[in-house]
Amino acid sequence: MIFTIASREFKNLFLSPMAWTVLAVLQVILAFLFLTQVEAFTALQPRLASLEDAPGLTDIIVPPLFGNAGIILLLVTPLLTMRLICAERRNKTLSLLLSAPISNSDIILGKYLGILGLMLLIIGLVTLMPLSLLLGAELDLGKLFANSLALLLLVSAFTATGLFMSCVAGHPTVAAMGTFGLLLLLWILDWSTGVNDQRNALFEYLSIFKHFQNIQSGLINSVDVSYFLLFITTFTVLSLRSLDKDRLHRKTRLKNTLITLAILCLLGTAAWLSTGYSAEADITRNSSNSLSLASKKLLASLPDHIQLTAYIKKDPALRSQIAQLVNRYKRHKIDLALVFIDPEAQPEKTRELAIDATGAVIVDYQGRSEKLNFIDESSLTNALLQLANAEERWVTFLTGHGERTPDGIANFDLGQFGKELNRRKIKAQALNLATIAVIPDNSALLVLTAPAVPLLAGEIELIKRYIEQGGNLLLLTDPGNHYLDALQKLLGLRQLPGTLVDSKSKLYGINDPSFVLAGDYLVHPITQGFKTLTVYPVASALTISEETDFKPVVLLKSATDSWTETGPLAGKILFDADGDEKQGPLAFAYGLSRDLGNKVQQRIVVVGDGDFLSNAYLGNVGNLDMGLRMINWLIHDDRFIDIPAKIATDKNLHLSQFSVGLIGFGFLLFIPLLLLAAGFYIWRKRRQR
Amino acid sequence: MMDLIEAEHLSRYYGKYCAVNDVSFTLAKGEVLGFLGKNGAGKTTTMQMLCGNLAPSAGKIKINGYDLLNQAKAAKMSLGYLPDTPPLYKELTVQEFLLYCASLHGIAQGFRAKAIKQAQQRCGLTDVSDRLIANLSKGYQQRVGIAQAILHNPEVIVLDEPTVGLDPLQIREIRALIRELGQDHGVILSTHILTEVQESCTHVQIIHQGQLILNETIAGLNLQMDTGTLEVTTRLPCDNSSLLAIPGISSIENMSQNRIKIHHSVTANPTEQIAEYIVASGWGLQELTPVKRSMEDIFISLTQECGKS
Repeated sequence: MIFTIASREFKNLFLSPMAWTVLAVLQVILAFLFLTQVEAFTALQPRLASLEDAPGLTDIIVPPLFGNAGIILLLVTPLLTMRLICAERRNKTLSLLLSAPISNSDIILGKYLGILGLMLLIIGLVTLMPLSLLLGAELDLGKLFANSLALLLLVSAFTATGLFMSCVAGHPTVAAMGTFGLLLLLWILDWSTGVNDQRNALFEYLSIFKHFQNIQSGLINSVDVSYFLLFITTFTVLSLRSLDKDRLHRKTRLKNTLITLAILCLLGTAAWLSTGYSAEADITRNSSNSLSLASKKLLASLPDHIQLTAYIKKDPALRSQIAQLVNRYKRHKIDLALVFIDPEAQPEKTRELAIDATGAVIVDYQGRSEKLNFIDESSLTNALLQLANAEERWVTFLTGHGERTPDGIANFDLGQFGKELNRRKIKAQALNLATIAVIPDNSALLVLTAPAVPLLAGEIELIKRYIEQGGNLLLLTDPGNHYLDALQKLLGLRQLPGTLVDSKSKLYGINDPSFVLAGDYLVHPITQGFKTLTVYPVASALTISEETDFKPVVLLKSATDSWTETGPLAGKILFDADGDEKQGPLAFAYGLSRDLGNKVQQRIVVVGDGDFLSNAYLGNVGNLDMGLRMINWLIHDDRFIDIPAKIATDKNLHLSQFSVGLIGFGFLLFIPLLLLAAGFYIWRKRRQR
Repeated sequence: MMDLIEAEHLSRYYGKYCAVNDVSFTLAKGEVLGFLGKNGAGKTTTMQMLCGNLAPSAGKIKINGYDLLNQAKAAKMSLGYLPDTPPLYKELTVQEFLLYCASLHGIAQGFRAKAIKQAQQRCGLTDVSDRLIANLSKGYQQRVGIAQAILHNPEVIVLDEPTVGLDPLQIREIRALIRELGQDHGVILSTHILTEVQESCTHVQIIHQGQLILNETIAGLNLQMDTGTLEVTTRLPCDNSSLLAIPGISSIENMSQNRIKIHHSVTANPTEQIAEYIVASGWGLQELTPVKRSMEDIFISLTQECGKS
């Protein structure tokens, strides 16, 4: 009987030109949006191809299309549902149904399914558009399916609301307004949660858009699906109850109200329970919504609360992207919290944490913290890995000869860097060999920066012995400084005369050729997974001079257009091939290692520049990260989890001329015209009867 | 024989207003029950309750032995209903509409065509079966409404003012149809036209201000309403007091100088004596007409009776 009513309802829609027109108009609007997206993708395609973790065709075209379809259907559904019961009541045709041997649930469900048939048609038309791209591209069909499902659930919820309003309202217009108002309210709830720093869990749950987006991402979560199912059930039950109202015995009315309340309570409880026990499935092709196994394992090994604080301006798109990433972690660790703070709202805090305009995410764990300027799974997981290490380590900085000190505040000092180390439980201590003539053995690393005066012979001996005995060393020299040559010689390295200059630096808006930029890193544990540019002001090139026990590996290299300039760095400078100058690419940092047996490795890094960690330049692009990475490797705290980027498989779209025409004309002209013509024909034919 | 309809102590309140107050009646097979009442008397409300469109605030309805509230489906299987406004989907053709009704009433697939054909023949719709209901005249629309109610050959047929909007010829046809249906169904028919009841019903019920004030066969009704009215026009004014002496006359009203209205008993019809008396008195009898009894008269007499007893 449900089917009888549903099919009648569905057919009735197509007897008048109304449904045909709605379909045609929707088709034109959505086809236009779709074609714009396709065009945007075609324009982006070459750039996307070069990006490693770029979104694919499906990511770029499908979610916006279905999102827009959702918004448009929010406007259209009330018009389609307003007449369902309301018009029957006004035209007095409802009594036909009420006096027939059918139950109220037959009527309600029949009407609901009938209109849902039209909605399915609309969703089918929408889905057809991305599917047509299969003519010239691969698609992530899982994601496409997730989007269709999301839209179906969304529209089913809209329709249920419309049905209820149509049952309650006295006039179809009132029903339409009521539906629209209610849906808009549920939609808007999301805005309030997205913009404010504080989030309201209840509002967030009620927001229909949030659940829609969650499913759209391709991650089918039981919470989202059950939200929609409960939503639909609630409104169908309410519709049923309101239809029953006139047909109730006086005695049973109170009972009936109580039953309605009880059902609503039950549904509410079910909703509450559904948030507690969630199951999910990632149906995208490359599981782009799931955390890698390594990250999951790491999370399981962290017993304490993790606090993420995102200092990000109020940009809903950016914030939701971060929230989505963090949600993946949250699913595996309950006591992980994310708070958004608008940097403009807390300027002191922002300044204290040295957060720049692009914002940053601070990760706190057991009193230690990491700052992330760029957040993805790889960076966040590795930050957590660093934080997981609770040990306190000591790093010794040699002082007493005018070196850069780890607590100094002068431009060339390393005070900022020292503070950053401290934040990660790496204690920097200054050592003056004149007062204590021994390198402390609790120290995991000795840092030598270019001294202003020569070291005493005894001191050099002490350091040499330290190196020979297997101590880790970070040596930062500067052009023209030869006080550490003896040590470099021990390591088999030699400093080239002159200053490294790079004509390429101009491209990045730096007017000083002595600023050397590094962006393409060589394969080394220090630079693994590192993508940010680093800047080295006034660096000296290094070269391997003689055989040593150490295995030197080039860490940083200048560009081909660089050379060592021996002349003054003023005016127009040119490469002088006849002199001492050397043409790039030139190495200016080496990582050296030596196996000491017992699986112990001695690690040494030599950089021809000390300025990049100085207070003046530490904040430049990735310098701090590079410094921390060097220290972490040197003190053997270089565990790194390699999380391969998820490469979209649908990056290419090659449509033949014919396919382009077929897609463009088909969706934008042919289908809408066909729909209109069919509607007009049927209307004309029936009118004459 | 089992009663097709058993209505016990039906009441219906709209808020505080009582539309139907403690109404009880039964309907057996072969009966055509006329439901008579003024506008607003509670006819439609009672009909709606009988057909499950409205639940009674109190009381119980059984149709063909099934309780309308607890066994709604089974009860409604034996029910055909034409509401006061025919429930028509005007965008459909007669054929499509009847087909939908047939499936709603659970007529098996194979029997639908036959049932529809029969209903169309009975209601005279065969010629218009492919036309849109919206394009039909009001009379034809009313007939579609009736066709819908008898389509599934229900035991009980409830018709709420079935002849409204029909021309006299159609009214006659419909009345004949109702009589025909009455032979092997139970029919309830509501109207405010007395002649309709007298012509097509076997039983009559009169509802007034929500209360049932009469439940009789047609013969019984005629007996019950023991008053008649004569309108008399004379050349000279009559002497009312001398007329009142004639046995059987209950009261006299002066309408104008030369016209009077005489209310009398039907059993002891005094018409002859009145005529003789007027002629004998030389008042010059010009016109003597029995007045067709209106609803109003019946209500007056019945309500007065109710008041007396």
